[in-house]
Amino acid sequence: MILAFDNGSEVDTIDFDATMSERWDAKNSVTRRPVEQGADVADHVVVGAVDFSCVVVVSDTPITVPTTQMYGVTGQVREREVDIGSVRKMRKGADAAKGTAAEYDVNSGTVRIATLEFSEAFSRVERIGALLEQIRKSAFSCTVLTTTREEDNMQLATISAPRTRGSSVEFSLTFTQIRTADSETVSVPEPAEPRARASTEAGRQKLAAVTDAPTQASALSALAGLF
Amino acid sequence: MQRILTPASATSPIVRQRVELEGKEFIVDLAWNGRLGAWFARIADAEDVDIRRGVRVTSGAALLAGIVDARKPAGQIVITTRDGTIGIDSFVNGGASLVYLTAAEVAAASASSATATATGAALPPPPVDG
Repeated sequence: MILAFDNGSEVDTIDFDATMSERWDAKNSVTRRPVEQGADVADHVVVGAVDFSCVVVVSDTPITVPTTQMYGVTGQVREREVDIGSVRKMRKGADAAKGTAAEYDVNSGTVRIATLEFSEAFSRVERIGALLEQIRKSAFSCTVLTTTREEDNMQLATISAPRTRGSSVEFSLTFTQIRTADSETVSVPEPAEPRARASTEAGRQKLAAVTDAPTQASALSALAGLF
Repeated sequence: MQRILTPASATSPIVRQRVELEGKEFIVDLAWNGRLGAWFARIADAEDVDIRRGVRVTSGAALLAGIVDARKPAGQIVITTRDGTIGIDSFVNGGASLVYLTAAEVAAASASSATATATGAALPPPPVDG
């Protein structure tokens, strides 16, 4: 797994030596109450964030040359001859009937082996541990690349680093993806009915005599309801 | 019986006006509540002190009913409508009116109602609530 993060001035990466496990989780919060027939159901679902958790290994004795966090330390495969010392080889087995013991030839020699050698000592475990802590504290935005998936805007939520082997550490990391929204300025539609209008000062209004019979009857009817 | 000319409409949904009722000046405020779809009235004296506020304007309602206040108009203000409903433009298109009945008219109507009750005569139909 590769973790890329933006530290403000550049994009740096961490290439872990091995990924023991990885897990993607995504969950929506769906309403448990009835939704009105015909309503847009999507309005009743709260889309949750994507969570990613993984267990990765960083070793101070890697079997290949790491591509990141070596800070100038180089490594290369070299062949060398190794003295294997004296090796006994049985020439004749023991014979119990004759009462003779086994006979051996003693050989000595060297073999050629290939080993990965580094230019100087280093502690990648320590460096990556400090880097992960810096990512967490500074809330750097990360991109997680695995063999099956790539997600950006990931925030490192937790780091757990139990030291289980002598020169390596298994980091348990969890990330949560930050969802972003774009803002846009739009013109507000005219309301169907006027709202928040200032008060109109109509001044002094005159009274007009009510002459039509329906209004007179209606007014008297309303008045009758009071007695 | 006089009609209070009320220039309240969709273009003037909040209107303040002064009217003279039997020699005294009053302030009548009308405000349209879009959420409820109704006009609400406020009656105040000439110094803009409330006599009644927040009363919903419905067909057949009497704005000063039940008010015991020496400052209130002597008569009564009732709401009349053409079809029982009051919309945002009803006061300017003739669909609804604020009608002021003088104290004398109120007294006459009261006396008439008392007589009708005593003689068993039919009372005018009750107001239609909008």
